[in-house]
Amino acid sequence: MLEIRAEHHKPSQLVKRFVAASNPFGFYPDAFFPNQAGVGYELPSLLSPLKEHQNRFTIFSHLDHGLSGGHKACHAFLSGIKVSDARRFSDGNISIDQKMAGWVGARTRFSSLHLGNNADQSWTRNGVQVPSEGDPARIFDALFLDNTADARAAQRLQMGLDGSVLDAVREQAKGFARHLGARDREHLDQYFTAVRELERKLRMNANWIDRPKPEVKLKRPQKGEGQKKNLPLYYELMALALQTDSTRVATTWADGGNLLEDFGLSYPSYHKYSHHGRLPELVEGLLKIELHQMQCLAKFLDQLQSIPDNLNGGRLLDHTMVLVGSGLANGSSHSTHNMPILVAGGGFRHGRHHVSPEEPEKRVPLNNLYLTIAQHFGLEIDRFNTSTGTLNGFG
Amino acid sequence: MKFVTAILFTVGIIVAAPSARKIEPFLLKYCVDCHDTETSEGGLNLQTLDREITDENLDHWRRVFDQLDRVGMPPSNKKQPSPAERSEAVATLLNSLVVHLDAKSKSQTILRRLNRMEYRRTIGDLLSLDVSLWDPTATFPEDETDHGLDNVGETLMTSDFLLRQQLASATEALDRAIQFGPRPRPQRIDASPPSPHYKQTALTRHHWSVNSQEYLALFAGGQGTKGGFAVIPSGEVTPHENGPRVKAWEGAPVGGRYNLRVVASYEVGRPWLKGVVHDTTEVPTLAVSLAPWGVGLPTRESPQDVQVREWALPRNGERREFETEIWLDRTWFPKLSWLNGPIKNPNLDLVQSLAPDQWETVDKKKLSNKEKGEWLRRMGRELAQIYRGPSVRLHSISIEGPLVRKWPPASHRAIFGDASWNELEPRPFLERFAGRAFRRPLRSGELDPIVSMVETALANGMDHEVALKNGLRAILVAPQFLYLYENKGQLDDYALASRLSYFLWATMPDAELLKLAAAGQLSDRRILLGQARRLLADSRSDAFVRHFTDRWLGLHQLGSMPPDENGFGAWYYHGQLERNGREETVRFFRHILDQNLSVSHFINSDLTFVNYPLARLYGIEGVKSRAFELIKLTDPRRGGLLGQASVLTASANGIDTSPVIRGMWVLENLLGQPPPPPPANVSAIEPDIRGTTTIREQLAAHRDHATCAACHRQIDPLGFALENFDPIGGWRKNAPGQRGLVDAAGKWRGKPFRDIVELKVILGKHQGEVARHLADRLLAYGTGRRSSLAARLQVNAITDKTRNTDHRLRDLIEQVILSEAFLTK
Repeated sequence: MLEIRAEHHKPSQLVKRFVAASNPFGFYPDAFFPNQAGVGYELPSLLSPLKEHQNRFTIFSHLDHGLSGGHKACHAFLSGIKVSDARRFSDGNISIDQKMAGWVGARTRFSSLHLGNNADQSWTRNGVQVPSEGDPARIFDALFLDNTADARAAQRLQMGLDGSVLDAVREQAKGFARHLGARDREHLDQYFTAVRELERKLRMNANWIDRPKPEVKLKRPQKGEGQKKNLPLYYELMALALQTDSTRVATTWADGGNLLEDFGLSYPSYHKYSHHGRLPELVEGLLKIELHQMQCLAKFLDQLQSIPDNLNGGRLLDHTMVLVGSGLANGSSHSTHNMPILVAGGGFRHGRHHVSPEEPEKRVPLNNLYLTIAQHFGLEIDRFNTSTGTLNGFG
Repeated sequence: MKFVTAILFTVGIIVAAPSARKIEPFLLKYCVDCHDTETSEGGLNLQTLDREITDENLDHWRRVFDQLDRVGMPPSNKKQPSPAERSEAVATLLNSLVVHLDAKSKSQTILRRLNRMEYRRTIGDLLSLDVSLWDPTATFPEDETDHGLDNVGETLMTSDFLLRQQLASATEALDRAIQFGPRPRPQRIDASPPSPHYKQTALTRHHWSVNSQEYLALFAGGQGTKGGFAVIPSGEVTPHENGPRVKAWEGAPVGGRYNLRVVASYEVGRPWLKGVVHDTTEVPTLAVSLAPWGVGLPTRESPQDVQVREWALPRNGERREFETEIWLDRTWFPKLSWLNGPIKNPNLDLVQSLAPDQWETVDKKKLSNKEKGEWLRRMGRELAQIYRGPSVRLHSISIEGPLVRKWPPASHRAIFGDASWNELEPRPFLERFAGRAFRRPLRSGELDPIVSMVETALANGMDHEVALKNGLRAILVAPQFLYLYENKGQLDDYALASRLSYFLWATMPDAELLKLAAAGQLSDRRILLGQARRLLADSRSDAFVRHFTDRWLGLHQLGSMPPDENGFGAWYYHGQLERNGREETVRFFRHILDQNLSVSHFINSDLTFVNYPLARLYGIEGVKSRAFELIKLTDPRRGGLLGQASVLTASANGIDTSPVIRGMWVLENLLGQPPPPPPANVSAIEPDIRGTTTIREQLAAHRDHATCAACHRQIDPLGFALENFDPIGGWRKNAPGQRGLVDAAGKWRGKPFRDIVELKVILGKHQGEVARHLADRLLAYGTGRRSSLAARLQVNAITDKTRNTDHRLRDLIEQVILSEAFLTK
């Protein structure tokens, strides 16, 4: 699908969007990675729901962040840097979505959206986890529910009060800092940054208070329990948020823990199945759950492909980069090597199974792919966290 | 030769130059063979490594230190130093390292933000608010941790997300605290006999209408089942086509204390075993849980339930009256459940098998809603007629409140006294509040920015209430409130008051501490120690006991990897083992603290606390209720932390166990000697539970590999000894993926053992290491700083003082408080 590339536009003039979706336990490697490299590969079972889109996505092999730590490294999926190592890097452990969100700023109502229960994949440059929202109804309200005139007036009043509190406490902090030693003062910088950032966000928000929110056909969804019910809703809400340009950066995740809904499985636990230990019964169960995630993704791609892109022309998918993967490569061995990575849409040349070198000394950081994506998004950076360059053979 | 080295080492301790020369003979004798220029095993060349410790070679020397300290080197197939030789070398090298580090920077506590627990408790105390149900930090991001501790100043972050939530919580806290309205009038709802809420399970409703309207009967346990909780009927009844609907009391109209009175009895019923899974060993127990109205069905278990009372019922059917005062936030309500009733509610299908004549076979899909409702009612009534299984009967439920003893409430008076908004002079009003909030007297002009914000707003015509409240809000997000101020060097009395109070109470200092601080007396060691004892004797120190055990032992991770509900996991839920297991460990720690017993109890002990669910898990007889009992253990497998359900669950992952992870748990949390993380290029073991290769075989291959062996021979044996415990701490003879019986034998630090009982004897010889690690954790927790090499010297000094008396726990805590590290920034 070479025509996806809009040759008549320079990439920088286009509005690009980014979506990241992950899960806490990886994808079963044998069912995720194709056996052949390059184009025309045979679709492994987990990718079969995406058959129609085969030319609109790329599968990557032998990419990872070079980290260890099992579950404890999972939160570094979108950054390549563990919180514990953040202080060694100038941008801390900022995740790729936040890098982009900072660039989008106030151009959309939300600089980024994070859907899912306790997802821990998004981090600011200060090493702060960006909270995620798991209740689809609350996400719907934030995106599409207009406040009443009274509520908006109250919001403005509150904003004025908050503004003066922030002014006052900044001065309080200056006075406080005079009594502190050098290291404490340095630590208190976080407080000053927080005040400044909150002021900035309040100002950004102020411009949006009185602008009406977009109207959508979707009814206010009810909160379901577990990924079987919630994941399709998250995807649907993301599609609508992108369509209405409410945001250009969104992340979601299929949560772990015990599943409360029925997958037709005998144990109500995603985690249990991820510890399959190669037992066929458990592997089968795990694949059911992972297949569900892929089906949700397929539906999402269908949707993005069918929605016209009002800002760029073409279809929404043409300008939306969708990254799918996990911070854990293999939930059974708790390995973080050879992470399962898929990128769809966004105007890249797709349809291939991209295989990076496997040898330890030639390995390519996953962050090289993220750098490629970030540049494509419009960011003028030549490095992202642990990247060593852009990704060869992808663009 | 030994004699000579001993002398050398003795000299080494007092030498204070950042040099490793003093352990030269040790290095030559035990290390250089492999770590020489030729082989440089592990990338370490001790022949060329400069003996003067510098910034450049510090990492190398730390590695040498860690390996010696954690008994990682020399490898077992090489010549071994005696324990005395080793500890001398460790002490000498430690001194040299610290001298080097000292020259650079002193270890200190970095400006500490209140963490979530401290914030919640401080807001509660500052404003006299009950925060048992309301968590003002519910929307705060998780606190950052350092080696499990969540109160380390350096790691705790502040962000705009957090500040925004702190601002919102300040607003809500003040709204809750400030009560200018009229005194609320108490309500009384008396349901004698109670009627069923229409969302009650069918059998409860039909039993009431068919058999007896004198009481409400519960036929199954509430927890973990669909339905089974009784709520308080409001007395209001609305007509409905399927029969009248009884409305429930929809929670407290205003926050306050309420008096709950319940009369209940247990009905043993006919032996009714078909389809009824019911453990009757335990005395029948009625539980009171609190929940907010409007979250899910009130008659079902919800994630927000807070279980506050457990009442044992006589087995003989006698009625018992219970009366208790509970705190309810607005919209919260109590609900009652039969905590240990049958696991499933009796099902309508029972009619089919027991009264087949009455059973109407229908295709439910083809019925209209109305027809379906009628069919359900007919079958339900049939079931009620025939079912005579065990039940708990509620004869009367009443609630009265809010019980207002003083108005305005304490929270209001804490801010205003008896004044009203308009009478208040902004400056003195705000300064008085800020003095309490900042936990010390204000410096002159310290509050000027906030005072002038309020004065400007008033001058611009802002409403008095709005302006002053905004001033209070600003105080609650000012850095002086959110952070603990500590002066440089020796802490002044106010800083010391806060440090002590946040250590032992996790909240702000009380009036007595502040009074002593004002008088400049708290830094007097005798008075400080007296205060430490007073704080530990006060129930507020439960916060320390709970939180510290959570963090020291990693129990805060319980719940993040919940066990599977099938198989061994079923009892985990029905027996509420997460809650009860944690309680055991907390009570155990509290007992050792209160009785000032040796830390050796943590390794092995002949006492613990159990209630019925734990007793059943442990195979202990004679404990038959939810009440915890101090018991003398006769089973040597259970004594000490390594036999406790909480620890055994937290060191597994809910699904299976791993000797590596459990072994790491012991090294890390009990002995304080975590091996370094595995090299990044080593691939993880992929478990295979089909039985082709056992984990022991896989790990054996691992240990044959030289790189892995250095650490894994330390780790794995400890884990093997624990393999007899399943992922929730139950005893097992067979384990998945293992052929035959569990093999728990091993060899650790040269000493062979057959099972956990023998391993604990070996670990008992390492009591000093357990004490040292505990002192390290207590010091880090008490001062809110990372542990460091420099702190290691302090920790050694602390444990030196408690060694002669076998490291008793309260002594250890007191020595931590008297240590230089605790008394200085």
